[in-house]
Amino acid sequence: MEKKGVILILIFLMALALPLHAGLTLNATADREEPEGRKVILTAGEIEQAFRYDVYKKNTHDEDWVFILGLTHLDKPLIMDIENDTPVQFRIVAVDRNEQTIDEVITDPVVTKAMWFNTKRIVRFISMILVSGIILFYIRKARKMQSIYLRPIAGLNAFEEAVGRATEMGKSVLYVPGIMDLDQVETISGVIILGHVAKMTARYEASLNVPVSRSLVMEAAREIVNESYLSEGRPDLFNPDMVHYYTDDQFAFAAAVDGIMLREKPAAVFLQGKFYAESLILAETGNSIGAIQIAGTGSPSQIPFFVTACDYTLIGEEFFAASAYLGQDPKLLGSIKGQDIVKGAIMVTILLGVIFESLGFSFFKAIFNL
Amino acid sequence: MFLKRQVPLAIVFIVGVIMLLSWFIPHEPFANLEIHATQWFDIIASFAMILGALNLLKLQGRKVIRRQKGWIYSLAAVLGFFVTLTFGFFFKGGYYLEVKDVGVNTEAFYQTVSEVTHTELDVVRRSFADVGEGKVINRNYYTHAGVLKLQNTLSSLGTVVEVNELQWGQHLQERGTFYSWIFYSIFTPLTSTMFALLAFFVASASYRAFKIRNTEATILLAAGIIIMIGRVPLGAYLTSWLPSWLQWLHLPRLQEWIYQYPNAAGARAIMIGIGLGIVGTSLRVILGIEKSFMGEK
Repeated sequence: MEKKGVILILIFLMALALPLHAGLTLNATADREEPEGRKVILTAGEIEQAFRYDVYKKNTHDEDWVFILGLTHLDKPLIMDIENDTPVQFRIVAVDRNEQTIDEVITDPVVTKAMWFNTKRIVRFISMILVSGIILFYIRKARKMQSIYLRPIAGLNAFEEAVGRATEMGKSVLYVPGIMDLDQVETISGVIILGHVAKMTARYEASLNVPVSRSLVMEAAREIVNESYLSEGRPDLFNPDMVHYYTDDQFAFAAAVDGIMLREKPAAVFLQGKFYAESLILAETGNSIGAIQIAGTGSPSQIPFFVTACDYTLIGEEFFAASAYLGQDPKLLGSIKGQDIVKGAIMVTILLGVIFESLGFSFFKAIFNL
Repeated sequence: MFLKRQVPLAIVFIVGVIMLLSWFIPHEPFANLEIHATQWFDIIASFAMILGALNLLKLQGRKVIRRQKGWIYSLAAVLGFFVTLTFGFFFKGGYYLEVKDVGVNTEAFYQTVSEVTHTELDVVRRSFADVGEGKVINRNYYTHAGVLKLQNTLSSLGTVVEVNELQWGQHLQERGTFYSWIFYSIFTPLTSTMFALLAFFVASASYRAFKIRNTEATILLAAGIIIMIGRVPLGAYLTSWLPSWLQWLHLPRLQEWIYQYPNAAGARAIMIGIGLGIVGTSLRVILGIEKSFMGEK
């Protein structure tokens, strides 16, 4: 009985003493939740005597440790950045108030890897497939359909009227395809619409003036205007200098275009593309010379300025639909139809979201947070 | 024809699909494709700028030679182009002094440096006390004669200084060079002037927008007034007397509601339309359905 008691006391004392002799611990694991890799989670156990913990790292093939940071506590996991596919070791050194090393621990090499698919973007990927699928379906279907109805868009109907007016007045048509380069969809859309306007000016024998602020846009716009004049059977009216470059700078370009407006007083001004703060400067100057102005942009912040200062404004999707509307190509019209179906689906989704959230069910919203 | 039509379409399709998928693939070589593609585009655009510059010179030069209407503005553009080019590539300026030995007459030296650099005396004193010799006097001169004048003044005080010149490339960033003078004294004020015109244009545009013509314009006017007054202290003051059950009419609260709900709803509807338009246009371009941007029917 006595022996048993002594053993129990000894076990109890050993259990008490264990924490005092527990050494510094460190565990490094690659963050598998991070699609891009590069993240390592360090979890460490503190020791009582430590005043500070210095954290180091090194690639396994390197000799020297690189100091990363010093900490007074290790109560939270540390997130460390490393390079993918490179084995890295971490080391924590515990020091006391006299800067004497008490303990140190080194982890096994840890390697992070990037995923081959970003699972955090799964909903967006599915949405992209669905949206693209629907649009493609309607593009294919459009070939068999006799006609596709597009609601009348006042701004697009006014294109011909504006060019006609310029012809009657014997004045030029000014077309500005935005101030950005061809890496912007709005610029591409603006250049595409230019092709349709150029066909009209070729038909009406009106003078066309296209100042641009990017050299690449100049080349693309020239090509498309040339093609339009050819397709209308008026290559004799085409002059490469119709499309001309001024400057890449935003306000210098605005000044140059304002100068053209004030000197030449064009009867029709088309502002179609990506615009920033210069939008109102251009539109108000156009307004002051009494030109008929048709603007179109995908920049939401510029739409109010254009609505205020221009006669017609193609708002958002109308601007992107302009090419299909003006060209009446069944395939392009089919894509517009597809877009409208997707828009209907989005409206239904929003409505469902509102209903579920109002009823206190959050699962629907949670799907879109994936 | 094959090289002009099919090859560009194939390039657009392949690059478009790869760029689209790369957004979902964080693994190399797709991970940084967007950054690389942007850099390639910038390089191509930089070379293309030569075409733009030549076009500018051709058209504006022709206007000047033929004395066409507004030729004087074209002359300003052509002169501006060549002057900037000259100072960018051939004359940089940017002469400065490096102090080798402050000498014994330190207070007079600090005083002179303080005057020429427009810096407080204490700052100059601290600055040269910390580093001592080998420190640069923070003032660049356009001409060699200008910097020599300062060198002579400092030499007469017993200071040993050496004349140095900014490196090519540095002259685009630092003050006291011809290029920076053009940039800061001509270009920046002109740009600011154009930007400042916006204030007047906003006023004239607002006047037209807020004119009561129909129901929509009246609603716009009312919303505009509530937003404007509700965002300044006057709005809060004007409606501070409202009883608690009419607190929803408190102007700051009302303007916030207009901004957060009807305005946000309208803006998001437009954003969704724009997003779909971009997706549709991108698909048409990638799949070669829309080819007119390449000059094709």
